[in-house]
Amino acid sequence: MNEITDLTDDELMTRGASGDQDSLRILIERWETPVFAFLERMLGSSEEAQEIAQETFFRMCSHADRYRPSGRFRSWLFRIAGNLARSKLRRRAVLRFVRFDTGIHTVPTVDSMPDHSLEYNELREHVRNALSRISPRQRQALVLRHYHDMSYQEIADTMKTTVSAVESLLHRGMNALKMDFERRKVFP
Amino acid sequence: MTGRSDHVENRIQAFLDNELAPHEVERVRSHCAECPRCRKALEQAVAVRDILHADRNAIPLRPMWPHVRGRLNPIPSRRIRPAFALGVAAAGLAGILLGVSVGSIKGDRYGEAFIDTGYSTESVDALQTPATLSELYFSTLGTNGS
Repeated sequence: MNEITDLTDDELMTRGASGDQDSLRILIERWETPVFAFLERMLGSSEEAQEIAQETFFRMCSHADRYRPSGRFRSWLFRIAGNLARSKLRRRAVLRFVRFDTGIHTVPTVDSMPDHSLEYNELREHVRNALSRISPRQRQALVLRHYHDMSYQEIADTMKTTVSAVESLLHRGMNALKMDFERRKVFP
Repeated sequence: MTGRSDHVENRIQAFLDNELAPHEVERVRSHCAECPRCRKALEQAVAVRDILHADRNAIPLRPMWPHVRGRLNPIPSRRIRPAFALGVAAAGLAGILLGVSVGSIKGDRYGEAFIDTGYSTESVDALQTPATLSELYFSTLGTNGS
């Protein structure tokens, strides 16, 4: 017999919808790091990312009965997180001038550092600040693609848009980052 | 020779993301081999991607489940509930009424003393302190008994 931790996301959601809190706990433990990382890049603040991630998981649990198992749990979950993050950004009313905090949570090993003259933390700061200067939708598409390895179709499902719109968002977002990096001499 | 109208800059991201159909992959590849502008765009896109990928994922500040569970199963509030407050008030009122009735019995017994000392019931209530009440009680006893 399978352990509960071996169940798929869809199976856990089905159990959770019928009141099994252990299933919901396992789902949260499985997804809290990716969701937090996504929100931290969207919002630029660890504390706000924590707050919105908790709200995301609360909604996941309280709306579990609305989820239709279809193998697209990740899209569904990140759609909740993305919508909450964009609402949060709208409430701030300073969409393009978000100040990113610099709290470091994980430090890469020397081997994993790219071959750049910039120190890792400085590079990280450049990346986060550059992300904060593009539109929230471009940022969302870029983060889902580059940090969560989503396909264009999955990003389209998550953002409720078309694959060609995703391609356009990514193209414009990457161009904006490239110009930002050039202006700040992040790469030669 | 690839014509300049065939620039593939707007497909480079999809090319890097393996999102193009095989015939388009070949078109982008062969075009970039010949076109310095698109080749440069491809190199820059790779550089941007490498910079993005250098940033590691952050980890949550705190585990999420305790917070979510707390909201799903709210712990009953420690605030006094209205029904409980009503019960306490009723008990208090009963106590006061009992006290008043005992006091009136004692007042009847020692009625003269109250008259003698000039204390009215209202003035006794206004004193509020048990010490003063007992002083009053014993003083009335003394007045009456001795």
